[in-house]
Amino acid sequence: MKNKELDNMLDKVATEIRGEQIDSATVRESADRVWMKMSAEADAGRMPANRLQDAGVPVGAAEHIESCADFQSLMPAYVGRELSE
Amino acid sequence: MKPLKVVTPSVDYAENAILGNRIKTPGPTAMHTMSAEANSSLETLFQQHHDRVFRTAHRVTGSAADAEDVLQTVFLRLARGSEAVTVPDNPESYFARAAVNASLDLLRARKRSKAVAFDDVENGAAAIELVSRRHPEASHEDRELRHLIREAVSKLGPTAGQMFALRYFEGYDNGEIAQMMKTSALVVGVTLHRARTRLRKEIGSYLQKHK
Repeated sequence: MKNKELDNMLDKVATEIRGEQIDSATVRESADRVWMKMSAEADAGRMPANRLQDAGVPVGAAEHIESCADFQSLMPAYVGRELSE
Repeated sequence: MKPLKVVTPSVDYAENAILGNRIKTPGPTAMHTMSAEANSSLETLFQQHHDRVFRTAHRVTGSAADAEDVLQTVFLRLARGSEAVTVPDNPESYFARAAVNASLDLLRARKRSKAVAFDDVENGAAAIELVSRRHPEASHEDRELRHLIREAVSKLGPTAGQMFALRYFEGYDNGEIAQMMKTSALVVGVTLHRARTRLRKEIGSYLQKHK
């Protein structure tokens, strides 16, 4: 098949993809599920975050050490003997 | 009601978020430590833009389930970026790029996975089946070609894939894409030309196999 024909086919497929419709109910139901999950994460996360702060770990300090920057962020609490065992 | 706190995002964060880079966000800055004000900003952005993000993701991935994953990814990245949820300078283009990038990331990650889960096989078949149900008039070849093009776009480099999706799936012109991606229309034109060459080859190969 010649390039011109392949080009036309590519444009046709791309146009079909662009024109694909999805009904609003599906979008709305998905959005509701996602927002509920995000809210649940926010609620579930409150306890661990508060425990860290109760332990004197400043806001902004890393929860998981994955790099030098994370280590550095925990140093003040470590020096102040405020980290848990 | 307090006004939205508008904070111009730092270039690094905005670029990383838009490019979909996996940046490590230090500290407990996820939704659970957000102030009520920040949460309200996020909710407003979600209400205003979730539709656009979902539909863009659906066009790029061809799957409602994937589009939902992308929707969650985009807004979680925004929520985890800072204590104050930043309102992008141009929300429409921000969310268009974020949705395209997250969608392409998802398709690439699925391709990279060595273990082909039963779900993944189903997803591919499901994607074609979904297109089939929604577009019963489309031939089997049309549906397969759409799936092929989506997969092929995800195999382009990150910049080319993003430009192609913005141009041909979302309808932005070269000048608009150049502005969104902070480059020139010339670069966009050249990149798209090369991308089209690759995609033509994919179509050619497919048609050869299925003669």
